[in-house]
Amino acid sequence: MSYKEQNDSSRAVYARLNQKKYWIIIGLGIVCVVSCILDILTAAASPAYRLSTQEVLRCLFNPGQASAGTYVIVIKMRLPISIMALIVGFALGMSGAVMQTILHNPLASPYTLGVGTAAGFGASIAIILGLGSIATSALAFAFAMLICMMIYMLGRNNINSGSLVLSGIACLFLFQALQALLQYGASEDQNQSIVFWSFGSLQRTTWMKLLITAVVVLISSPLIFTDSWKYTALTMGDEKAASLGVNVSGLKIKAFFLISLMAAVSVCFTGSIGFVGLAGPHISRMLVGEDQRFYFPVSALCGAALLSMASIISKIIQPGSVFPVGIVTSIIGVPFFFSLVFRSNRNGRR
Amino acid sequence: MSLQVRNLRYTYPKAKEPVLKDISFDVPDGCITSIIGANGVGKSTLLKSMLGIFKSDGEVRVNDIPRDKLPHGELHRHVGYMTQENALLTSLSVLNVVLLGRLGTLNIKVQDEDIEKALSMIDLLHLTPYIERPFYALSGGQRRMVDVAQTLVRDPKVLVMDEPTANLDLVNELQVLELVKAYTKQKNTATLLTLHDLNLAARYSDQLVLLKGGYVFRKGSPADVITEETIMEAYGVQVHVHISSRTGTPMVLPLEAVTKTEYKFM
Repeated sequence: MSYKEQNDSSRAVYARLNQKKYWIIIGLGIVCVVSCILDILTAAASPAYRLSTQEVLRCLFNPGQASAGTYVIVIKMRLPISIMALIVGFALGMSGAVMQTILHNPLASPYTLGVGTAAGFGASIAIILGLGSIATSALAFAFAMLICMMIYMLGRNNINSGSLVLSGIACLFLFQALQALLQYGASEDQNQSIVFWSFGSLQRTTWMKLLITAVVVLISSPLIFTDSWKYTALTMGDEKAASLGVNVSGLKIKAFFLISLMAAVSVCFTGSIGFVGLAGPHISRMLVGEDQRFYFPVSALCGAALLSMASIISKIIQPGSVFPVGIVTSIIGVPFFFSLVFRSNRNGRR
Repeated sequence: MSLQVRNLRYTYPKAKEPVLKDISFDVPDGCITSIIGANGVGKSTLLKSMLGIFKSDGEVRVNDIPRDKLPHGELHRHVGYMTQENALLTSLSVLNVVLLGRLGTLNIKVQDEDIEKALSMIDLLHLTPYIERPFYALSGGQRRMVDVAQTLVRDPKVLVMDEPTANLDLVNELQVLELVKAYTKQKNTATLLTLHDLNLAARYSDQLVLLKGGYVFRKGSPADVITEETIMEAYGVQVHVHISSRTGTPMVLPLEAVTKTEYKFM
């Protein structure tokens, strides 16, 4: 019996097939908002200096009435950090998803291809030269973009998945070695700064850094999203996509540039944050499959939610101090990730 | 949109000898033209060279206009090309895979027209029970049927299919070729197939192009091309050819290979 014989309009058939996916996006959006509010409410300070929930909420909704101290803590410190967690998580989830699609490889992510490592190397140079925090971010950004260009140039002649992933891993090792070389010659203080920078932390966020990151993400992600069907065609293989009329190498160049930009701007302000760019796409694939119109936003929202939750946890692990969020994402994320992978293996494919 | 191929020549990168040396033939509108020939003779390579996927020498004309002089993407918009290579085993649903055939017109919010065309093509190929099923969970033959639906749903003016009946069972072979024939006649498309099954090629094609050694060995109607002598020369196999009383087309019964191999197992 055909679907039409059931007196179903085509539109209704299609809507029914996708309904669950829309609900997943809405649900994840709600999780992100709730997590962000909890993040703002969570104090990093020792209990004596904690603000009450009411004080924080009053200050958020009516900043003019708040005391100077509360205003500084909530509006200048906690709010940008919490929003930054969402935006960086979003950027890493999105760029990881795009990388995995264009490289046909579930191991691809900004972290595993060395974008974070290269940014760390750029930051280390700035720290050793004694440059300020703006120069540190700028150099980190420059090297993060550089590694993306290197990966692309190395894999360009044969822009298939294997050669690009291998070039990424080769660049990762190169920058790791270079960073070790720098640290070998650095003083103890410099070494401490370098190590601290490379942990990955949201605490360096300012409104200006937040604004720059947000603008890049807000411009890049729609440009990726509008090509969703072309990326969906890529999931059937490059040759198939080409036979359907996709300019495969053109699409990959555009994608590579946009995700390099998003990943580089994220890591240059926060340092290297692993796992989010790997887990976001994986969870998304399990939830909504490979239709990239859903896969990209769900992966981005998963990334945002994961980093926001990690930000909360980083503040409550050890009262009175903030754990670097990069360590939290990896330590808490990895066992969780394993459980997902093994459960999906038991259930069959993917 | 008819196609004309003139003196096409293609050499694989790093190969010494060209695989296609001098190929010329026409693919007229409203007809099925099938390329036949032994394995490795360059049937798929010829299709890819004609579509510009492989950079070849010689000339390919579309409605008598050289392919390279057409506006960018013009040919691609009108060609439905089904590859012989299997697609990666995606988890996309059958409906989405078929929808991808209409990539040129697809928006983020899919238009009713695209969905309707996809659903009706799925219905024609009896795939309706599977529309929600992931592509990887289909059998090889079912995947091929989905490929056919994906290729036809774009409403191509030129239909190019590389071994459309690979992996298909008897009933689906006939069904797909009947569908291709009906499509070609109703929409007046220039249809170019490669087929390895000589009986099917003879039955469904208006014109055959037999390749051998990089050249067109014979071209013409099935009755002209499929004779005991040409098959012997092109394939090295003794066959018996008779004209079917049912279809009126040549039928090939293989007798034996000319070079006999004595099989010895270690």
